[in-house]
Amino acid sequence: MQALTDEQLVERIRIDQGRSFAQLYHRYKHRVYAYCYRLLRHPQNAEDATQETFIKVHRSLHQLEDAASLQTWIFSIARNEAFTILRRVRPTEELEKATEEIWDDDSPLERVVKQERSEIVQHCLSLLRPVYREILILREYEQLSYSEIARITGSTESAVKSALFKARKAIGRKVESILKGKDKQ
Amino acid sequence: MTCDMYEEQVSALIDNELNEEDAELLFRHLSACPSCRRSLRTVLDLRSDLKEQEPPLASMELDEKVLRRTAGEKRYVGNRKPMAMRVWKRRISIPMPIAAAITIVLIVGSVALSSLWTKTQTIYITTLPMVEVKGYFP
Repeated sequence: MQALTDEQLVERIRIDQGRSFAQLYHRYKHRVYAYCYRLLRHPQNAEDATQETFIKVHRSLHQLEDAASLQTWIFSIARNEAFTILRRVRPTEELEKATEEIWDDDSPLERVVKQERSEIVQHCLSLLRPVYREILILREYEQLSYSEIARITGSTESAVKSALFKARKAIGRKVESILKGKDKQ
Repeated sequence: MTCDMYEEQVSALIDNELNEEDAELLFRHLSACPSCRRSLRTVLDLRSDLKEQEPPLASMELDEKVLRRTAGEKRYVGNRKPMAMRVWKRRISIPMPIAAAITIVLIVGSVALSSLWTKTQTIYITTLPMVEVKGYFP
C-alpha cells in the first residue's frame, strides 16, 4: 500500500478527529528529535522540545491552512520550542540574530584533536552560534531548500544563503586548523 | 566579482540553489582559480563528514509520552470551526455538529412533549344552528 502524502494524512486526521495523529507523529518524530538534539546538544532538552512540538502540532492542526507545508510548519514549531529552551538556559544572550560572530563556544579543542575527522566536524558544528547551527542542520540533514529554511527561521533566502556560506567557511577553517595541529603532534 | 563572492556562490551551487547563468559564470571562474576550487573541495568534504555520524533517534519513552498526552487531550482537530454561543452570561464554544444535534433534540423533544398534553378534539359542524363539540378543552 502506498503511503499517504502529507496532505492526505492531514485530511485524514481532520476527518477522524485526530485518531490518525500517531501516523503523523511516527513520520516526523526522528527528524524533529534529531533537529532539536543537534540544536540543543542535550538529549533531555531535545526530548522535551520534541514532545512540546507534537503536542502543539496536535492542538493546532486545524489552523494549518496549507497542508502541503506541513513539514516546514512542524519544523518552525520545533524551532520555537528549541529556542524557548535555549533562552531558558541562557536568558541574557541574544540567540536568534545572525551577527559577524559565528562561534558560540570557545571551549578547548584539545580533547577533540585525537578524534576522527567526522567527529571533529561534529564538534565544530556544536560550537556554532545556534542561529548558524540551525541553518546548517536544516540544509545538511533535512535537505530543505533555502526558501523552506527562510520560512522556518523567519528570514530571507539571501540571508540563508549568506549564513550557510559563513558557517561552512568558519567550520572548514576550524577543522583545517585542528587537523594541522594534529599533524604537528 | 571577488573570490569571497564566488565562494558564496560555491556554497549555493552545492545546494542546487544557483541559476544556470550564475552557475556558468562560477564554473568559468573555478577553472581559473585554485583558491575557489579548494573552497569547493572544503564544502563537499564538510558535507560528507557531517553525514558520517549516525542520526540521534527518538526514544520509545518519548513515543509513549506524546501519544498518551495527545490521546488524552480530546481536542477538536477538525477543520470545521466551532460555533460560539452565549449560555446565560457565559460565552461557550461547541463544535457545529454537536450544536446541530442539540438543536434537533430540542425540536423533537418539544414536539413529543406537546403531543402528550393535547388530546383528540373533534368538532362537528352541521347545517343546523346547533354546534356539537366533543373532547376536552382546557
